[in-house]
Amino acid sequence: MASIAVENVTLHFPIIGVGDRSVKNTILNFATGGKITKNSGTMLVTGLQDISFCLQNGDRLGLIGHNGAGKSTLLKVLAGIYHPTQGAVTVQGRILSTLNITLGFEQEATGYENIILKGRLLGLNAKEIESKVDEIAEFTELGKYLNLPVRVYSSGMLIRLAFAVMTALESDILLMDEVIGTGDARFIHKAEKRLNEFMNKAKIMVIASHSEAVIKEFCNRALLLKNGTLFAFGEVDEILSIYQSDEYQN
Amino acid sequence: MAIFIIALGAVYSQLFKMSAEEYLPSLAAGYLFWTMFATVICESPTIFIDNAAYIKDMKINLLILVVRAISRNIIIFLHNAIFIASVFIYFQIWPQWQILFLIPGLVLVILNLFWIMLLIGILGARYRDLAPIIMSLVQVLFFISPITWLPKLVGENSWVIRLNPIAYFLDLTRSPALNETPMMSSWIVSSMICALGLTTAFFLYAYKRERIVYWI
Repeated sequence: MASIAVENVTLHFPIIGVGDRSVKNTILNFATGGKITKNSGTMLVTGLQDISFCLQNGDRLGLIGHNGAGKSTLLKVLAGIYHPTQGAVTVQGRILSTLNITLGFEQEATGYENIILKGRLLGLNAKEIESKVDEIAEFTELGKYLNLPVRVYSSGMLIRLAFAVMTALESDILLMDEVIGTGDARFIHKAEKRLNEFMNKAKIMVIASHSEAVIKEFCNRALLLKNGTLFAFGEVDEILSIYQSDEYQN
Repeated sequence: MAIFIIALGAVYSQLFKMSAEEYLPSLAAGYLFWTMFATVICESPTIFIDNAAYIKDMKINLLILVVRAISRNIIIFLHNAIFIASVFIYFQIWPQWQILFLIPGLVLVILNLFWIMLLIGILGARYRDLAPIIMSLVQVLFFISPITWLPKLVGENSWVIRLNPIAYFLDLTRSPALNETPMMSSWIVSSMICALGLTTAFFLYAYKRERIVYWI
């Protein structure tokens, strides 16, 4: 049983001024009462404002909105990277986020070593990785390249490896910032199939995307954000039509 | 490291009018431990900044990053220790029972390095000019600590040694390596510094850990 409950979440980003990032200035300010240097102070930028919604098993949520509307920020709040300034997020189930799939690769280590490294980073134990490593290696089609350090890989090969490791995992809740995809024409078909299986394994999925086609294909609910506030939440078709409307676009 | 120790050992043993046999092993062991302390302290202010990718893109316990950096430095330390061992073999110094003090000594010192890294790491993420400040501080510490000179040169109980925490850390690690028993005061002072430092670092961590992601 997986669930996500977001209650009245507000998130402020503290933006610390340049002059305020120095020990010397801080001490100087303290000693002189701010006469010598001017404090540029800390500004608060509102990332999210009073957001509430609930997700249950089987929900596939698409996050839509303009650039800077707060889609990625909301994903990071759900992932536990940002802690809400006010409100609460209650999550039940194991979360997997694919915000940066090549994160944690060690350039000097071989492909195989990186599969293990990445698996450990994502919370698998040695045994679990052991049982998956052959299947991952086979899917990547990298063959003997897996014995070479990943710094010699092309970016496509690297993403292929990262994709294979990521999609080999099981999770209750899957968070994605744009759909991950990879490869040349032939490989992309294979990747799509695997991605679909990967998504189906998750009990709840949240995708942030600019592509209406993606939202229509994968999601059964949608959440529209505007300037960090929740503009609309409901069925996909309904929300997409609001997204197109003048009311939202202005 | 080898070139540094041999060159410095040759010149400074003349300077201090000591035999190489007395001076070189002490310098070698002292420099070995110092290198570990110094690298950890120098890496501290940027530990969270350097790992920004992890902190910004996945939910990760920040303490893991500190433990990882310290583990890496322990491995490098063991690697360097091989050369120091060859110096000891050359001068025919064989480990005696005092070497056993090295284990609790190292554990205590590494615990100290842990809180130092955590504390400076959090402050360094917030205040960006801390890195160069720490860098020059470490350089000063190298010269005022008994590494290139022997503690006995300043006489017993000198304030030069008494007020320098690094001198206590060195006593806990270098002395057992040289088959000497560390002073009781080193254990007491290092433990007290450790307790105080760990408490401070953990309070700051508990209070600020959710903010660090916005600073880096």
